[in-house]
Amino acid sequence: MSARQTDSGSQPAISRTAMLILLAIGPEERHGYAIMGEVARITDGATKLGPGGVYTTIRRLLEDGLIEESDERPDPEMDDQRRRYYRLTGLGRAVVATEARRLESLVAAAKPWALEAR
Amino acid sequence: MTSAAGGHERLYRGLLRLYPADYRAHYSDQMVQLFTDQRREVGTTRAWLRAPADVISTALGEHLRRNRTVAHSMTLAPTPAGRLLGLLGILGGGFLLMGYINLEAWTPELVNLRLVLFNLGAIAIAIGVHLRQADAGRLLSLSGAIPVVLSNVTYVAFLLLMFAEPWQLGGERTHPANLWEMSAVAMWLSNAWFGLVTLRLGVMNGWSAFTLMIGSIAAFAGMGYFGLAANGTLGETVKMTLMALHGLAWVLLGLELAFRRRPAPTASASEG
Repeated sequence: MSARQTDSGSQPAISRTAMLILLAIGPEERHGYAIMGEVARITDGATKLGPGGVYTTIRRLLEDGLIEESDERPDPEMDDQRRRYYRLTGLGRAVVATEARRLESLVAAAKPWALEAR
Repeated sequence: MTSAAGGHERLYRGLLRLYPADYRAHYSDQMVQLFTDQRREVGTTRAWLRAPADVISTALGEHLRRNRTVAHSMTLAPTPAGRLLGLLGILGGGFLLMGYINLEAWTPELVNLRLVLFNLGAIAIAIGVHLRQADAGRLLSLSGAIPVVLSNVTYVAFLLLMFAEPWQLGGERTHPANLWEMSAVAMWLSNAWFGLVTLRLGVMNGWSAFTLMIGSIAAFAGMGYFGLAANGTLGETVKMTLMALHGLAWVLLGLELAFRRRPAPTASASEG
């Protein structure tokens, strides 16, 4: 399960891989290969997902209603028509925002001493 | 597409058989395509180095998840008979695994008793698994279960004969010790076939069936026919580990029979 209820509120917290995939999709519509590349880019290459990691997480995100499959298919001259594109749902955007705020507050707590000490 | 690329795709698609069927139905094409993209980007060798860990770890997660989320209404609690057979199987697998504990108390009589109890457990599992998976393919299921029952019964018969008149195991290959050895070959091979059939039918947990298959083949190989058994070597350690997995597989199958809910009979099956 990629989403679970937190003790502190009704918004779900999500696994790191799920969060990375949501961030990789972002405001765009992206297919698996683009998601894989974007995850590697936003983590500076620290996280390299394989097809299994990408699609098992996508499946859970679909089931949790955090992403949806786009009906539109790419122009056959521009891209392979067999590719499926995914985009965030409203709930998905809300989850990303909540998780980002949570991380932001953690960073703020660490900043006065842990980050300044470097 | 070149034939080499097609070969990689076929091989990768074969690897995807580790996922549950419903997952494969939705995502295997996309995963094959993504693997092809990945090969193009990072190179074939690097893509293949990453693929097994990626597939095995996520496939295991999908199986565990599927076990948790199978719709309750589509399943039934194990029958009392199923529970009993499962518990016998757990005990049987446990008795096999006890052999890996190096005890001085293991007299030949106790070893034989342990093996008899293991065989009875294996027979119980074969029957229990057949009852559970017969709806998915009665003939195939029978083709897996019957050889296991017959070969284990034969093996037990020889063990009991040896109780009555203990011939030296591993001594001269003369009748009936030679026949006893042949019954062991039949037992390991039929157990491996049973594992393959169970894996193919897909009703029981695929990892248990796969482990049984690999462990049985290891046990067969460990009999020395291929020169693979050599005391004290790394090969011996690997073989013993795989054989221990074989014992574990019976325990896992037993746990599934005894405690995991079973698929409800399909309409066509109950009509037939």
